[in-house]
Amino acid sequence: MKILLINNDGGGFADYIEVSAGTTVAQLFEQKMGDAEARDYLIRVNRQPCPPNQRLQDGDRISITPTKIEGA
Amino acid sequence: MKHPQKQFWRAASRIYHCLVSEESPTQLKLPFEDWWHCDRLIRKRQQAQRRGWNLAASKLERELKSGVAQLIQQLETMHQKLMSDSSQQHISSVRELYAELLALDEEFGEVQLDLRAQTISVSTEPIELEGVYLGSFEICLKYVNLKMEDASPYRVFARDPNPAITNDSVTHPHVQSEVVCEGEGQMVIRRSLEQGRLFDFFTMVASLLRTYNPDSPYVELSNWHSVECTECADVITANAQTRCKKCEITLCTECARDCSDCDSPFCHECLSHCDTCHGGCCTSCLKQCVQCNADCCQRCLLKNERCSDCDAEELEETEEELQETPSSDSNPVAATAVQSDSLGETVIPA
Repeated sequence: MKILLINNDGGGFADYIEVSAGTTVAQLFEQKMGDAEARDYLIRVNRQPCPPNQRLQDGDRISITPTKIEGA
Repeated sequence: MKHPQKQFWRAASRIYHCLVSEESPTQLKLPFEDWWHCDRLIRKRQQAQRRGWNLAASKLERELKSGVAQLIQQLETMHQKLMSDSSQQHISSVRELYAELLALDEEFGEVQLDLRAQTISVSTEPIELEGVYLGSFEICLKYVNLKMEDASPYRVFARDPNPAITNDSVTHPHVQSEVVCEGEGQMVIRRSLEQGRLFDFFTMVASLLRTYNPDSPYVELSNWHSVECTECADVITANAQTRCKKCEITLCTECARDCSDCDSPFCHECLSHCDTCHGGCCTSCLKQCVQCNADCCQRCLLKNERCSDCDAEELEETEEELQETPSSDSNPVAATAVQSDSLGETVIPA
């Protein structure tokens, strides 16, 4: 299935990606963010906060945004 | 929801047209400007180190760290762009923009839409960072130029301003004159606007406002209620400051000098000196000696409006005059002076 992944860490990038059916939010986070701590990010599915075990659906929009963004 | 759905649809449609009209073919451009900026900083830092300007060198090092981080970020973004399967970047549709506005309304409580001014605004909750109350901020986006090509399309207004004492235009450690210094968030904020991800944009700016970066603020939070002594540049707490009575500059207790007569504080420039005792005295308290025109403090100016020097001189002159004026009473010896031998005698031939 295809979902829109928006990674607001670093440069910030949005792209449609293929994920296997039944993938949870936590699994996708681990795949895409590696060793990063989930607690340092606000993860939303379709603009709504979501639990880590939420299963992704086809056409979902998932955004991963750092909870702290440092200005200068 | 205060705004009717119709207004959200209209706004979404207008934003979409702005985004589409601004859309241009994906262009790859190496970040040469940032590269040269870092190069300049490196040379400046080396120069400062050679000359032993340690403070300047450490300041340049901080700037260099931030510059290099930005350079890496730009290269990373370019790398991601090249690695991406899609050749065109994702731009929100009208339906998505409408959903973004609805989500914003839910997240911030209220979205202010001004279709005539072409702005969207949301407000944060009152923000307090490290014990410093900064108040609520309004993030106002003008959605005409979301590419950020000319200037920042958004402003951040303090709704209950509590600016730094040293600089009224700094309402937040990372906001000056209503412009946010985005630091590490620059690329991601820019990208969210280019793609019309309004929800991400507003939540990230709000997140930036809730975060303090002690490495490069406009004014450090530890100095938020402090002022800088104009003379020695030392940072002092607001209640420990004093002001020059004449020019009103801020002074620390070390630099403030009191007038010996009126005890008012003055800066080095505004405090004069008594020509007689050389003590510090303000121009209002100084008075001129009627004889020599020297500026004197109250203690050095005598009742006859002469300075102590002139007074002593006058006394001396009076004494000399008295000594030089002879009188019979005063010199009785002269009347009975003993005459020298042979005075008045003459030689008679034998």
